[in-house]
Amino acid sequence: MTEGAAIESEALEDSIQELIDQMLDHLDWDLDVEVHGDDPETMRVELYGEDREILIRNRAEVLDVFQYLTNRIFGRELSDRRIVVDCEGFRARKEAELIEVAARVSERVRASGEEEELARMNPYERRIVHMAVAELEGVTTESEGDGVMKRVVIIPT
Amino acid sequence: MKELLELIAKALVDEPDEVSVSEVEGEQTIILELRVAQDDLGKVIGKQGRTARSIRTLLSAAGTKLGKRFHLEIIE
Repeated sequence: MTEGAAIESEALEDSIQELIDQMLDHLDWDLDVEVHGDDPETMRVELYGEDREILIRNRAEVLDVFQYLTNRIFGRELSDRRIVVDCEGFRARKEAELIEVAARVSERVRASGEEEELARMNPYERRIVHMAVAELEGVTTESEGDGVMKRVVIIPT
Repeated sequence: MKELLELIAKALVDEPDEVSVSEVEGEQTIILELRVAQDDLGKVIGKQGRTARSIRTLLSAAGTKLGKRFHLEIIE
């Protein structure tokens, strides 16, 4: 990162931090926020505190809302980066789970020679699966379906 | 929740000065009417309504903790 980009990134970190702080204030949720902009591809936002349960119930729909809205709001300033909002390692655990499922199903598809469909996933989850399968031999992926929630199909090659 | 909705809407749109929210309190439901500049409607609704849906999810989660129900109406 150039010096100019680093300064810009820091200003952006502050803006993201301020917006989420204000949102949490209005919501009156007992959560704190930390923004880490040290990665060139992602801006990591970490939420933690007493009210974490609100964020991660119903397949972490509220965590996803924070992630989606902040990416919409700061899209222009982010240029090629994106914001990932996490809560006490929830996404990291979820990611590890998805990669494990992708590997297990890929193994089965390779053995049987027959494609398999995974559960409906949001774009973020699908990206993790596509990337995990791309690293494996003998299988490839496609997305199937309409709307935001599509299915990844693992196909033998 | 009026302030929360105002904050989010103003952050999303190109013309934040045109954002206004009025609160209509019913017996069980609080209706939040959101008005934005005509050209900003797409910004608060989003592709396939995803932005509006996200805001509704947040309001619903906020309501659960308060024992209230919030209903977002985007006035066109």
